[in-house]
Amino acid sequence: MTIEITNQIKEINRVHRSLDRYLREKSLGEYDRKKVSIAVDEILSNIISYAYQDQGRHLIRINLECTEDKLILEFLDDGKPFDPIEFIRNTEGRSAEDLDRIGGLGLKLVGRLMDRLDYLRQGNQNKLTLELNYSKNYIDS
Amino acid sequence: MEFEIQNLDHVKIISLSGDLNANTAGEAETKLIQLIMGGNRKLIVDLEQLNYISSAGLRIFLAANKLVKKMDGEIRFCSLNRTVLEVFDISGFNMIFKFYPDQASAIQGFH
Repeated sequence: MTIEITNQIKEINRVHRSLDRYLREKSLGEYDRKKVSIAVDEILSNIISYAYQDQGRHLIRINLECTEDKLILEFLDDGKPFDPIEFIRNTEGRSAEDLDRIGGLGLKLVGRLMDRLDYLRQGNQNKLTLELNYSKNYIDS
Repeated sequence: MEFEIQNLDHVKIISLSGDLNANTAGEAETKLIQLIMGGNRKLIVDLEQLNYISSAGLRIFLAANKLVKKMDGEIRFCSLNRTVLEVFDISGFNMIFKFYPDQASAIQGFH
């Protein structure tokens, strides 16, 4: 499935709604659906808030693929180059207050809640891939 | 997201439900800061009905905590589900705030 949004925070709601439907169809449990919601919220709010150096309208594409035990989320944006993996590495060990001040609290969550992150700069696009090894119908408690 | 406030002596109990994310955090922050600026410095945040919290939600509690600390107050959390507890642990919130299993235990020693 592919979802396209423009660079406005309120657009993230639309992604949450489509994604939740898709993940329920794929029988992802509540606990995994919540982890995905958090990761998507972090990545999209980061892109929308920090990636663009102009005030223009930009498209962000989210590609979703679900295999038997793995969910793959791909984020494509035409913002300035930004490697979240390097950023997570460079801010490792910082306190919540530090990360709140310098940024990075959200990416730290993504790094820990997802099982794999990959980043590529392709032409004028950032391509971030997240992978989650999920359990079907796993309930939160 | 819903934001409910209960009064219990000098303690305010805030019950949050739904999703606390980039879209909802702004409204929650306004309500929380108003409450603190109104002189309420002992707060219990009940998260039993909260679906999930992202960093936009975490940041409002860090901002609120700075304010209540200046007033010699405290924010306590109770009834965290697994996802919220995991997010709090990853973020290092356990170094800043106290968590309790339920409202009754959070209220103890808070007067």
